[in-house]
Amino acid sequence: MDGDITAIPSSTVENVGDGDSDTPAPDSCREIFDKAFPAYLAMGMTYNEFYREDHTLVIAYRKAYKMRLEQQNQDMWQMGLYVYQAICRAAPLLIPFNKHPQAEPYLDKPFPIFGDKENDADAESKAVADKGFAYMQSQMMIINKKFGKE
Amino acid sequence: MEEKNTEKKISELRFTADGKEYTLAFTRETMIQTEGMGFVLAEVYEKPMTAVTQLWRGAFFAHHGTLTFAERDALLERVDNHKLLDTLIDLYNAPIESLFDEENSKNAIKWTVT
Repeated sequence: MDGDITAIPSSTVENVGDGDSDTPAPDSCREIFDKAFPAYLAMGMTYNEFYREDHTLVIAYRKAYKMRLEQQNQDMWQMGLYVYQAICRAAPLLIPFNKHPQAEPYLDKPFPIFGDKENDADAESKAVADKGFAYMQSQMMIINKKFGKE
Repeated sequence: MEEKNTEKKISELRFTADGKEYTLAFTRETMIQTEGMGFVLAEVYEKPMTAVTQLWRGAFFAHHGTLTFAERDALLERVDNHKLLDTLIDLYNAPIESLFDEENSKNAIKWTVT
């Protein structure tokens, strides 16, 4: 499917209601909807949803369709990144006249999608430890002052 | 009989008559049905009285399809006609307008009548 997903043919819009006898008659509702329907059918909309249910459903379907396209685009980009990584790591094998070519091993885990959880956890525990250390230092200073030591 | 839902972009018209609540709206299917009854959008302002009757009758199909035309016409006679035609046209246009991309209409130049 290509082109504008709003799927109203431009000829339809141009022809509506200028009243000139020279211009062709505007498309009927049936023609407009029948032209638009296949695009929505491809987006997963059913006949009932398109023709019989709340007419604003098409807006949600269009938004969902755009989100799906963005997701697909993101997936393809990520796939390209993995392929690039694989080629780069295997590149030493492709160098001619290299007597002992050694390829880098492939990534041992996928790229993190929701941030690096392990690093996040490390940073969090380090922050807790730092806070405890600072607290202990301040307590020691208070005690030292109390007993007249520097 | 009171009319509700007079906001600019309407998709339903509700009123109560004789204790019964009515919801007038168009789906794409009932638009085609209304067109099949002879309604032509391009001729609305040439034949406004016919258009009001046809649109009024058609607007019942979605939620009150079992009402006879005579019953629908009886309600039409009792309803306040002020801006009724424009409201019915808005109702009728709503299923077509929703096919347009709302992002395009956001960028459209706004205009007012003075």
